[in-house]
Amino acid sequence: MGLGHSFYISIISYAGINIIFALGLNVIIGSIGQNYLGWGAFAGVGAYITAYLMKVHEISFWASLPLSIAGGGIFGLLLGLSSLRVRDDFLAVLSIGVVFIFQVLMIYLPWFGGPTGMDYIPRPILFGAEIDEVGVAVLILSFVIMITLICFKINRSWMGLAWECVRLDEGTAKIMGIDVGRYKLLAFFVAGSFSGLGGALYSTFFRHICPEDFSFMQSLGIFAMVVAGGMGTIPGPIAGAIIFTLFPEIFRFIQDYRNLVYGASLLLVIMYAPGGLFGKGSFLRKGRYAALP
Amino acid sequence: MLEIADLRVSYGKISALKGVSLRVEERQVLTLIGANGAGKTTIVRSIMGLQTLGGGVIRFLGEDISNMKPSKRAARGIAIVPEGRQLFSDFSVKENLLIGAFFRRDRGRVGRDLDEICEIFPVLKQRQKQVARTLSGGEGQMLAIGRALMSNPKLILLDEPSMGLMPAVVNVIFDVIGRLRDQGKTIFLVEQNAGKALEVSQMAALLELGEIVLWGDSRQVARDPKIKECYLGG
Repeated sequence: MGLGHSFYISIISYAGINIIFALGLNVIIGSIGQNYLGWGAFAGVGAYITAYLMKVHEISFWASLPLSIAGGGIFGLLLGLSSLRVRDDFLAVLSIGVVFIFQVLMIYLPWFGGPTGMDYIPRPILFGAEIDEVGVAVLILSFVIMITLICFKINRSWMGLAWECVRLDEGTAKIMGIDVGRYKLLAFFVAGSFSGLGGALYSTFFRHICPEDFSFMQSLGIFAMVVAGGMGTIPGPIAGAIIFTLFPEIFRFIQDYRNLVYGASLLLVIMYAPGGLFGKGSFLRKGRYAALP
Repeated sequence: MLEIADLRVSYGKISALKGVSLRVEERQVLTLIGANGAGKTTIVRSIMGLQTLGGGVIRFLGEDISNMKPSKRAARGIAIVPEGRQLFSDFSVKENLLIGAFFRRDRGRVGRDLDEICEIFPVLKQRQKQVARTLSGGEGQMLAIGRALMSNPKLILLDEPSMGLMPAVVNVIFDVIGRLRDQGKTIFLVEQNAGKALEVSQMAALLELGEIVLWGDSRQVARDPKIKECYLGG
């Protein structure tokens, strides 16, 4: 496959999916401020649900999609529940563990194709015909816009304000009467749902998934997009996703050193721009909470 | 308005509250005085729902709230000005005030109330966009009180407002509390500064080692010889 029109469509699609993943993870890391590295599990649940339903049971994409979103959301809730019982630092460790457990499950459970995963996953069908690459790209971009708008809306809502209070100072939030547990669960549910959505799109776009796609290293990649891009903002993860998707493709020679690049960029960001490249020092911008007086 | 009956709280084997009963009537300022460690903040935390009770009942407006989550209590009109202010230091003055309105149903009115609070505390209006951590002690205390007022509360829990403040600033804060009293607000004031507290309140209770040992009209309590000796410096 050469550098034709098809290549650019693929890049745009891939970047779009990563934006959705990054915005989802950002809800946990940036909005409510929990140390969480387990993207792979949420996205993987979404991806495998859609892949399995579409390929094995010939259920349409449009019916599988809500189930992927719900699956991601429920998984999110489960992780959220455990986050309530576990201290900050241990949540990071727990989340890494979850990713590995998910990977192992997908390798050893009989129905999901084992280590080689599932392939020949169909494309969505619209008006009786399978959508082509361009169609999928349009679909993905539509969801990117939708998720971005939802993020904006949440940011400016009272729920977003509550999340921020929890992120800044959990103790004070609790004293003020804010139900910290409930808002953590909500954050995990939203993050899981977004990732589940991304996972479904991933399945139908790439048409092949395997457990390795949702490994810890991949999770670290999404994590890097959020943190290096700018956690807690909306442009941040979007920029991070675009940069980290485009770079390996445009600079093909660093493909093999991708993990080195991820690690190095994280290090550089932490050293020189702790809020992320497009991040912010704090939520003290004008125009925040415009829905509030 | 607020009724506490036989409240018991223990931290492990240590009994912090050994059967405390008190009432706050509507439009009344009740002050709870007592030394460090007497259990005053434990009572405030219990009222807010941040403390597991070992026994006893808390009733607010006739409703048993002993097992209610803090968010539900806040929604019912209990606002807290916590010990040590507990502001969101990275938020601006305005944002801290907004948090106060979090549990209100009538969110449309919040904008108007924000302006009103800024009228009551002109210094807050000046520093609206300033980050809370840059405020002085007295300004921070006013912000904490303002934040509580933003919820349009039925009951205000004021925990040690004078703590860490210069005497001149303490006077200012108690002026504010006096004004709130004159406006008819219901306040449960917990204070180590017995003198100021008894001045500004109508009813008083003395807490010693987890038990109420004195109770009555603030003027009378102030005249009590024990109080004079131990808490008002003779």
